[in-house]
Amino acid sequence: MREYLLYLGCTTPVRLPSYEAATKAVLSKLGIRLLDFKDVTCCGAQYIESISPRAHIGLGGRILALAESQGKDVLAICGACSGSLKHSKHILDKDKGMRREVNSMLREEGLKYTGNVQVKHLLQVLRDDIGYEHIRKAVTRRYSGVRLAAHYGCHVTRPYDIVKVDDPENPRVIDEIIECIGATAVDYPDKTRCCGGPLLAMDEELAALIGADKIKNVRGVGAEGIVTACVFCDIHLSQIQIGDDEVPESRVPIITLPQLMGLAYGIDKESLGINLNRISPEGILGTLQEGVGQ
Amino acid sequence: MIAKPGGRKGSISTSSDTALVIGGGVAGMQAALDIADQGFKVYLVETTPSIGGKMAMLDKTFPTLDCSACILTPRLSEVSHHPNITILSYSNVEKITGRVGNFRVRVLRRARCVHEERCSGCGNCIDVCPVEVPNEFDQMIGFRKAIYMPFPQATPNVCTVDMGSCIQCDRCIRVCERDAIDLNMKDKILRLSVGVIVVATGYRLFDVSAYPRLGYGKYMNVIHALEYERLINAAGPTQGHLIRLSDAKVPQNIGFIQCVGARDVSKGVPYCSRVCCMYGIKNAVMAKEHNPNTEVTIYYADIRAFGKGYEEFYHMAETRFGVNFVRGRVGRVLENPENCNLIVSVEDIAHHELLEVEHDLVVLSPGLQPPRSLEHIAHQLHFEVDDEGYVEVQNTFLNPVDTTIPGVFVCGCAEGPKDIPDSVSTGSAVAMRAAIALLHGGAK
Repeated sequence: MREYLLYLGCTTPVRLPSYEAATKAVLSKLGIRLLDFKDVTCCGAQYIESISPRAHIGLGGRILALAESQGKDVLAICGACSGSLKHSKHILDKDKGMRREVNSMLREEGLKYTGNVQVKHLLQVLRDDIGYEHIRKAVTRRYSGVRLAAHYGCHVTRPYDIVKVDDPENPRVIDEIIECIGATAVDYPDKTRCCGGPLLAMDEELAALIGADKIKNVRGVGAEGIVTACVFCDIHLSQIQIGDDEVPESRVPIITLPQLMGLAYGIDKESLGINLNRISPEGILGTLQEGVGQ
Repeated sequence: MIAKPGGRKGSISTSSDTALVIGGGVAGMQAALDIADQGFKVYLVETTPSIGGKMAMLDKTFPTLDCSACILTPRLSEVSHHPNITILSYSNVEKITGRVGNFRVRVLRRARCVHEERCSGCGNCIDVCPVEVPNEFDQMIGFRKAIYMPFPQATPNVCTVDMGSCIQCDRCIRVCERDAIDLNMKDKILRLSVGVIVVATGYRLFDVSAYPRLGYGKYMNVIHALEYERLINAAGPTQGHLIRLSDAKVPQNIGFIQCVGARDVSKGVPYCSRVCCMYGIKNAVMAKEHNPNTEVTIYYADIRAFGKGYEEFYHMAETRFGVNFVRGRVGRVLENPENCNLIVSVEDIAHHELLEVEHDLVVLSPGLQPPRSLEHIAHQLHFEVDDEGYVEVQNTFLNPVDTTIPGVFVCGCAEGPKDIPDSVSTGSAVAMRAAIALLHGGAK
């Protein structure tokens, strides 16, 4: 059985614990063992990175060295975390001087970075370790007729040369999985565009506008929900639809990929934290066909 | 001093005073003619049903706006009537062994199901054929029959049956007065013995769907430059009426996007394709020629107008024809679902402005890449190709058309992107090098 250290990052456990719960439930169902990753810090993506790129690589290096000390690869489920850890690894594997500097900092804790661990995003584990075939076969309740839009976010797929997840201009993994579990994946304009979330700290209004564009485009093609694989995207796309001006009926439900999959595997709503979704995905759930497997 | 065929030095002997030219585009044709005019025999092998290459598909040439076919088609008949040239079209080079002075070549003559020596090209069979399929020559925009000629001046001027779509109704057989059609014809193997080989395999256009953000393949009104050439060509699928593919409306506002699959490291095409700036400008000018009121914009990274008269042509496009030039690489193209117009997002880096411009037609200008068949030929002949897949020459300065293998020469775009004048120049150059090798039995 394949094992990973589950790197949660800062945001998932606090703001989107259902993503964590659903990931654990679904991966254990599909034969992946997740281990708690103790004593890790924030990956430093964006916030630390924008102030001190070296400190950012230092944080990443420490996280990776901790994984090395346990001899396990790392699974990151947040787009920013997976991007950031892969970026740190890329620099440390390439830049000997930086590796020396980071290792001299790590010595205090008895850690050392040698480059022996891999960092994977959830989408890679689903596609490469488990495979579409198995994902399809494990289904016990298929979705039927529901049209869903995949949202990939920025850091999961870019830059390809470093993260190596999927074609950033034409990503397919989430769409394939949506189809595997019986729903219909729909294409929409600007599919690979940012959710707007990272701009929140600088320009809240612009961040909301970018997100609203996405919702408009998804609604335009008649999709009944958006499927995410990044904590920031999920939170932001939900949040911008909730406000005084928004009509509750016209909200597009946002659901994380493992939640969507979990329901098709017969995992109960409670374990997947469906009740925590800010926009109810009941419309999507309603299309599940009881007792219909693959 | 001229040596006789047969070789002087004894170490190398030749059994042949014949050249093989692989590829019947404008470069290969020039090479074949110039070798043949020196008294040697030439086999000109072409994989498609007709010689003429990509130039036959073009509407106009830059920078003079001459009609491409008017220049090319007299050349086609010159080649076909030359007593020293044998055209082997609809054929592929399969295997090559031997060395300079004595190459042995296996050519697969695919069954065109029409006897070339009997067919007069009258086209009666085409009229009665009930099957219509997309026409490759028109970039799949128009239609052709299952028995067809790719274009009116096709050379050899004979029909070809596409057995993949033929329903064997035999109507063509009944109408043919010369008994030229044989649907049971089989592929044949031809074995040739030649002294030298000229590689003139040309280019393929970069597959623009590798840029999903530019919308090709997703939006009907995003087309590429060769499709555009066919649309403005009087012999093309619309008889030269430039229309949008979504609704057949005449476009009033066209955007041309340059450098699609050129100068882009991330797509494996770091090099400049040389011709796109000029054909892009030519296409923009042609849009104005077709309809002077059309708004025409070119989005470019740099304009590389390096050839004779090119800079002047660029200037004329801007000042006399009123083509609008915007400097910036386009970020993305989106469709306005209401009218199928396209919204182009681009940063105008000359004015530091972000622009969103609506066009009713977008034409992508793809870069050039070596054809896939070149790999096979390189493998057969054991010569080197560079990182991009083009043929490496012995010495760029002193032997620009000699490959690393004695007796094997290269001309046209097989060596790297070239415009028509340069392709023809290398065709002539290669003919001289080939003739010298034939005269000396490869010893020189």
